[in-house]
Amino acid sequence: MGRDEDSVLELHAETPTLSAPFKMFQNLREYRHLLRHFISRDLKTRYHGSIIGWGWSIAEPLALTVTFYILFAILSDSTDPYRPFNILIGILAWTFFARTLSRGTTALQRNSGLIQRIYFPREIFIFSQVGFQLVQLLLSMIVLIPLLYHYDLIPTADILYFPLAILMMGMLAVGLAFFTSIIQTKVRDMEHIVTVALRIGFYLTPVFYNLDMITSSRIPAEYSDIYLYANPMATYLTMIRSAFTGAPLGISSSQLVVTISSTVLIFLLGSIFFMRRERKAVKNL
Amino acid sequence: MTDIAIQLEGVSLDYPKHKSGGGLLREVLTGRFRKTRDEAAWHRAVNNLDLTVNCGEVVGIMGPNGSGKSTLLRVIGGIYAPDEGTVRTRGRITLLAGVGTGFNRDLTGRENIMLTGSIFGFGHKEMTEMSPSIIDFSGIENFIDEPLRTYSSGMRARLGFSIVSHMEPNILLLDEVMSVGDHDFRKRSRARIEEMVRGDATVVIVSHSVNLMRELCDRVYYLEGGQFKTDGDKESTIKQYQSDKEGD
Repeated sequence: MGRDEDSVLELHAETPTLSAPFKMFQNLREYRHLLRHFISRDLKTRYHGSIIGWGWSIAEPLALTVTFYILFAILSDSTDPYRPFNILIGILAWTFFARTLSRGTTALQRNSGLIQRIYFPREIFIFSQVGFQLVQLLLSMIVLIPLLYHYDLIPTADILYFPLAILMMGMLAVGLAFFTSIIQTKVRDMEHIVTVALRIGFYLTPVFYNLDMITSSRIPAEYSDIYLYANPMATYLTMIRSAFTGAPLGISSSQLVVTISSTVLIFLLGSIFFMRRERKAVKNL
Repeated sequence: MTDIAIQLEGVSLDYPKHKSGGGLLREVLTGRFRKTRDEAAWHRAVNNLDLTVNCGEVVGIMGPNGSGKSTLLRVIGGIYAPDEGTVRTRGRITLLAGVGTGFNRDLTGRENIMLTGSIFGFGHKEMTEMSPSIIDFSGIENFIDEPLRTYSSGMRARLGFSIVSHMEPNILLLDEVMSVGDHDFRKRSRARIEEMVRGDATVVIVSHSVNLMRELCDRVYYLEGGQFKTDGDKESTIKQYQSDKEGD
């Protein structure tokens, strides 16, 4: 790990383009201990000095779930047998995505002290965010267990949708954060743009409602197609729900393929952008 | 490059005149500033520099404020990648400049030692072995298990110096040899620096202290406008530095 006596560091003016994603994974492997350290640092300091500690990472989603549940009981007559479960898991998964993106956006800026002291691949900061948020997600998903038990939901092969959807959500958030974190070093408006976009996204994505409320609504079918392409998070959240409840996805496999490929493309383009711009960007810190 | 520790070939680096906030979103998105060098926004901090430092050599760099000394150290340390040319360095590099930042306020001193160690590429076991000596040198063992936010700035600086100086670098980059802590700690840190400089490490020092340069360095360069104005001869560089200073 790190660098030893005989390793030679060579820095050129040229930046990688097509090799950028590979270079990135090579760096991640080489600096995996540092990645682990950053994640555990964040976990240690997140709830430092608070009494309930980890409880806060589930208190907010639980409070929101109760709120939306009551709201739906009053406003809507659609019947979803698993509603509390679907709302809660939607909020938890969305939080994973939103926090990764928003904290990833400011990652370079927040760590400027370290960046200006010693060289290591700066993408570590973005990846440590997604790692940290993933641990948080898995920890808070413990509260789902009583609900699963209550609804008698026994995991089937559908459960495989869950890791796939989480992987894709992580790639999407990291891919976007590759762009936003670099822009943030130069233009501090970026974090506010991200905050607003995530707030809007929270309502336009089936976070506290199900996808069929959009697809089987007054919206014509061709528009709901466009909606699914434009908002990959809608697909991933629905995949996560189906993984546990076994409900049909309601998304065609061709739509799935397009959505997943677009996310992978965003990730790859983001990694190239990041690797090419990062060295200019750190001078702005 | 068996004996060469640092090699700079035609290295240039542009630095933004205005830090964040002054830029246009469009500029970032289109990368316009990469292709056409906007004279108004960027200035050339290091200009077409060549430098070869052999293993174990001690090289000093002097020059007026804003001449690019600190930037040059950061280029050597890999913090800034060159905009032109190539930088090759061999082994573990430590940049000692304004210690104390990069720490986490909510972690204890001990945890910060482990974290800093992992950033420098040391494993958990190595750091566990090293930390007693780090704590001992810093002289703050009574507070080592307290979170860093309870430390005074002097204590923070002492811990910072103590950690960094234990990182056993192959290449040591020193920016304005520090003066932290009380008189006693200053003396000890000065001695520690000299010990490192006289040891196996390859060292590049940036300083205004003529005595330090004369005492420690094998070669001294005079940097002005991002370029070396002397060929590395110690006495002539010091002479130029002194005459420049009087001219001010």
